[in-house]
Formats: sequence, C-alpha cells, structure tokens
Amino acid sequence: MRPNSESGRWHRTGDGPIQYLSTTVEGAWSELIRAEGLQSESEVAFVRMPMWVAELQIERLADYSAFEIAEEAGFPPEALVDDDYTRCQDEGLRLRSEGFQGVLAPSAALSEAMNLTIFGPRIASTWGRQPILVSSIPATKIAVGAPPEGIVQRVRQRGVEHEGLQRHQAERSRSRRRRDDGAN
Amino acid sequence: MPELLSSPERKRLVQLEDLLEEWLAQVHRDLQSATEDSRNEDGQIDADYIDRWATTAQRLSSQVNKEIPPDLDPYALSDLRGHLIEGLAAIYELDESRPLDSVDNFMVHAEAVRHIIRDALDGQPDADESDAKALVSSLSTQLPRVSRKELSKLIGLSERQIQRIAKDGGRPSRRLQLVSRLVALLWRAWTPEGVVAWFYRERPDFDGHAPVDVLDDAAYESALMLAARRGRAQHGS
Repeated sequence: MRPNSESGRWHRTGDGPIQYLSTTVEGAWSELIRAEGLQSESEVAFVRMPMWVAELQIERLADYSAFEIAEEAGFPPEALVDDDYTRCQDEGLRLRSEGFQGVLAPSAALSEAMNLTIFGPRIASTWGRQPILVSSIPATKIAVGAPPEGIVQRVRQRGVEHEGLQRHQAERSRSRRRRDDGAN
Repeated sequence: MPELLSSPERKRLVQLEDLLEEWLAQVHRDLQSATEDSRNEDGQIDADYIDRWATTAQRLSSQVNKEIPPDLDPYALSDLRGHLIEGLAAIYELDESRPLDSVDNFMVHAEAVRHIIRDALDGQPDADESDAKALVSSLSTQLPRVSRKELSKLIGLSERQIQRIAKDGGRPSRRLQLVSRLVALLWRAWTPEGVVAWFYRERPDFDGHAPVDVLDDAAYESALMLAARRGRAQHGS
C-alpha cells in the first residue's frame, strides 16, 4: 500500500508499493526460511505464520522465469539470485518506468521455485469472486503454522551457490564447447 | 524509542482499524452486487451507487481524521493524513466516465491508512510501559512456556530481581521496555520458544551479532524493531 521502508530484491527503500509472492507454498516457506536464516528443523518448527493464496490477473509481466530467458532478454541471469540486489533493483525501476506490472523470476531461496513480484498497490478482495477494481486481488488465508519438514535442508542459504544457476551455467559451457568443436 | 500510546488510544485505534477493514470488505461486496445487478447497457456502474459510495467514503475519512489519536508517532500521523487527503481528492476529482478508477484510488489510500494504524498497534505491549511489574506480567502471558530463567536473560536481570519486580513493581529498564516491544511484534509470527530463539539467532544485518547481544546498544534499537517486523512481511530474497 505504501512505499517500502526497507529495500528488497526488486525495489529500494521508498520505491512504490510492491508485493512479493511465490507460485508455490514451498517457495513461500523457503523465502521465509532464507530471509530469517533458519537452519534446522527445530528452528523451522517455531514458525507460526499465516499462508495466503491469491489469484492474479496481470497484463504486463516481465518474464525472467528461467535463467536462459533472462539472458536472451539481455538481463544477466546470475543477478536474479545474487545476494547483492543492486542489478535487480535497477531492473525493477526500469520495468516499472516502462509500465510493467510485475516480474516472474526464479526464487533465490529454492532452486525449483518461482517468485512473482507485483509492482503497485494491491488490496485483498473476496476469494472466489471476480475482482472489480484494478488494485483488487482475490486472496484468502489457507493455514497458520510452520513450514513442513524437509524444506529447510533444500533451502539455499545466503552465500551458497544456486543449483539452478549452476545447471544453467554448466549447460551454457557445454553448448559453447559444442559450438567451438563444430567450428573447428 | 517513540512514546507508547495510552490504553484508551490503543483501543480507539483498534476500533478504527476494525471499522476500516469492515468498510473495505463491504465496498468489495457491494461492488460485486452493483456490477452484477446494475450494470447498464454501456457497461457502466450505477451512478446512484457511486454517489452513495462517495458519501460513505467522505464520512469514513472524516471519522478517521477526528478519532486518530494526536499522540500517534508524528511521521505516521503525517503519512496517514496525507493518504486521507489524497483519498478525498480521488472522490472530488471523480471522473464520471470512469468512476471505478476513483473508487480504486480511494480504496488504496484507505487500505494504506489501515496499514499505518496496524503498524502503530504492532509493537505496543499490552501494558503500561512505565510499570515494570505490568511489563513482566505481560511478557509472562505472551510467552507462556518460557521459563523465568530464560526471561531473565532476555531482560538482562537476575531471576531474583524479576521475582522482586513481579511482587513490588518499580521503574522498568530501557531493555525491559525494548524487549516488551519486540515480543509484542514477534509473538504473532513465532511460538513462545521461537520468540526466544529469535533473540539468539545471529543476523547479517547486525554485523553477525544476535539481537540479544545488541539489546543494550541504543544504536541498534530501530534496526531491532525493523528486524522483528520483517519476520512477518512477505519475502522475496
């Protein structure tokens, strides 16, 4: 609703309102675990947070849903999951100024998860009903509790390599080698 | 630390938050009905509905403006009044050809006001902050399975001193006040054991220190409050 008082991956302090969502429940829990630096099942069991589900209709979405897609679009893929948010924050500003309503990108916290970041103010409206206002997002709370067992070991903590990015970079190297071998 | 609100002020804020929440939900419900029942052939929403909405929206703004406690944090108060003014501007500048844009604009500002009120209420211990006995009692209630020994470590007092406070009261230390405010933020997102664990987890934003290590350092005060709030926010790291 209000400009953010703290910076995040796609925004700096004072930028307009922004909503960080994940496309899966596991992804959302992973983001919490990484943000809070939770390392063990016992720490995770102490969480007592609500989990919400939201239904979105977005017209202009920047698609960086895979590292190769971002690269083809001219955005450095490693920046998507870098612990330094600077390049994503710059890109977030550019996307907003060009009228994009959000960005779909790999989660830095869980290799197989995807995050959806929405620019601009949004208000939760009645779940299951077609939204009437631009700002409305049908949303409802589905549970209150802790992440399920088994997630914390899969979460990528800060300073650790991102498996999805590593796979992408390995594939790129293989493609380059194949291309070079073909040329020789 | 900014001053705490008095108990009647907190009560008034809770009522205002409830009022805004219910009003916003009602508008969404009404809009559903109005669009389902009353859209004319041009696809426009019923003008009578918009008139009625504008009247209630103005009334709501006026009520919030009158009833907001003047002792609210000055920054929050100024932010809140800014949203009220911008919300009213959305009503006065209503474009009859696109009335839902004005409704949407006002709703966004009304929700922002609700958030400001929610933020003001969070981090307010449910006790008189000048009364050490009340604060210790409130902490014991919010952290039911936490031992007095663990509590004493957090507050920075001996168990005997806590016993004495619980019996005789007295003036609270700044650390007791700060821990009370942090617990008021944390207990909604963590179990009682999780609240205690939060204080002992080292954080990169505190130069690798754990919150408990910096509780006596005034320079970390606002960072501690932000970190406690952050646990409840959306995350996209």
